[in-house]
Amino acid sequence: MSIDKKVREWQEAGLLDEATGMKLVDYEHKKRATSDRQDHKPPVLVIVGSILLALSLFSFVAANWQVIPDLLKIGLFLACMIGFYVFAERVRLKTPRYVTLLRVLGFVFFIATMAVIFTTYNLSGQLTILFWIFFTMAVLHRIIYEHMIFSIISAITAFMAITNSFEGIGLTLIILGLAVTWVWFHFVDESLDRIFAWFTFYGLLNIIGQYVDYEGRLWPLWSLVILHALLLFYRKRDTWQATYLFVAAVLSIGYLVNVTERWLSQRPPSIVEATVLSIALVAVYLIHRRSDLLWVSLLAVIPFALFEDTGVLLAVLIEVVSLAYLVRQDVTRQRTIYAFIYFLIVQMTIYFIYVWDRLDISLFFLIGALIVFALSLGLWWRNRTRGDVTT
Amino acid sequence: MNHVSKWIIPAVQVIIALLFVFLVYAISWAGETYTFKGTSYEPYDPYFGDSIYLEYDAFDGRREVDTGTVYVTFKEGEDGFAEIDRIESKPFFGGVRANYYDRLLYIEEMGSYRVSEEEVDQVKGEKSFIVQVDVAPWGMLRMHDLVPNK
Repeated sequence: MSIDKKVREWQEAGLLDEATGMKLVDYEHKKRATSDRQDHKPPVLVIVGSILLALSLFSFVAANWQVIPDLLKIGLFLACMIGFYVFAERVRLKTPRYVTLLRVLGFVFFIATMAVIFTTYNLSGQLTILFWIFFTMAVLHRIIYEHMIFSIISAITAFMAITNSFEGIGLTLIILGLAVTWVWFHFVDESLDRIFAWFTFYGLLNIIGQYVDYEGRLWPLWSLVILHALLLFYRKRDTWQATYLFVAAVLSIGYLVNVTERWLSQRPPSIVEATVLSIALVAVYLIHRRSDLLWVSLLAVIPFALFEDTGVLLAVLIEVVSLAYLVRQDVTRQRTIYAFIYFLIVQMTIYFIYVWDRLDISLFFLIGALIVFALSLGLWWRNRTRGDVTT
Repeated sequence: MNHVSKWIIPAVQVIIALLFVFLVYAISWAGETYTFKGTSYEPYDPYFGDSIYLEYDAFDGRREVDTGTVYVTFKEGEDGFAEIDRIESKPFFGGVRANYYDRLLYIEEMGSYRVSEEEVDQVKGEKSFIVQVDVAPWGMLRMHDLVPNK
């Protein structure tokens, strides 16, 4: 290797003395020798042979799948699953980079085992509970094996469990889901996990609305209000709390589209419910006093906006709020990108709802551009005068 | 990570898998057996696969529930065949998951029957059957002994 050459070069340049150079060369040679001994690579022919052997085994099993006894099929998959976990523990000290891959494969084989059990015995009626079991196990992986990939797997299984539960879910599973989600939220102190767990909570709350036969259109807002309870226990400011703003933004646009869809022939909510909900939305802000989450409380206008089914009132309000949010983010020198995306989406929605047939899209955006230019000019003017004052 | 905790996950997963297998076998031990009359759209022909699709007269008719996913239990009627006892939109312990749509109840697990090698000769060419269904107290079910209805 070039280490000898390098050391000689450094010695000639007077950077190293002779003794240190010798030591360096010795050290490097010794290291190389041990590493050579450690990853003794199996000969190519052996690798090719084992691949062929595995392929022949696979095709043999696949060809005789119908005639293999049920229990043997399940046993085969279970053995593979255990094999991967055992293998993961064996290589944990020697080649740690494969450990997570092997564990993921173990979990995949758990899913495969359950799929085999469910198809052989035709257990389609228990599918919902199976999805919640997958979610529970994924969260357990995340907590015990502490790897980011299991956060993603947990999120995927949570999504599947929730979408599958909308058809029908019992109280036991709801409680199990809430418990597991809380464990995930509480014990994994990472923003990514908390965001995923938060969305799982939100999905579960919406399912609860379905379970209690809630009649009306305001349940997604109620779920958001209920989730503010988390802020009472997890007071530390953190990234995951942006989910409140995100869901509020999605809901504002969702309700704007919903209120103008007249073919849905929806009845307006009850006055009492609308009032209570609006008060609740303002109250959650007053309780936690987070200025960045003030915008969530502005959703309080939605229950009342639903009474007016042309949606113009709501459109104007959302337009004003999105603009105000953008301006405030800019003025307080915070990140404007999300405010800007929200602002754009609001413009697109309003265009598609109201002016699709009446106004050419280029004219619409030309007007929009002029307004934004005027606005930025105003802001720039203001900043300039303020700059003059400070200097 | 200590010595025990790293084996928790594989152990729990093995237990879950075995538990489901056990529950399937326990259906016949702990469950109630009901007799159903089933018909298929066309005569059973082993050439087209080992399953036969079945419809049940007991599942026809109007029910007092919303359409969509429902949960049912069975009872034995006067003629000795099973009929629907309790039907609800919310899951309850012991309820079998079904779909109710257009005055028709459909239970996915009972929609098809896997005909084993020994049964082929007996079932071949038939359209009307009597089948035994074991229903476990925890809502799983298992069909067995399909015989032609003569």
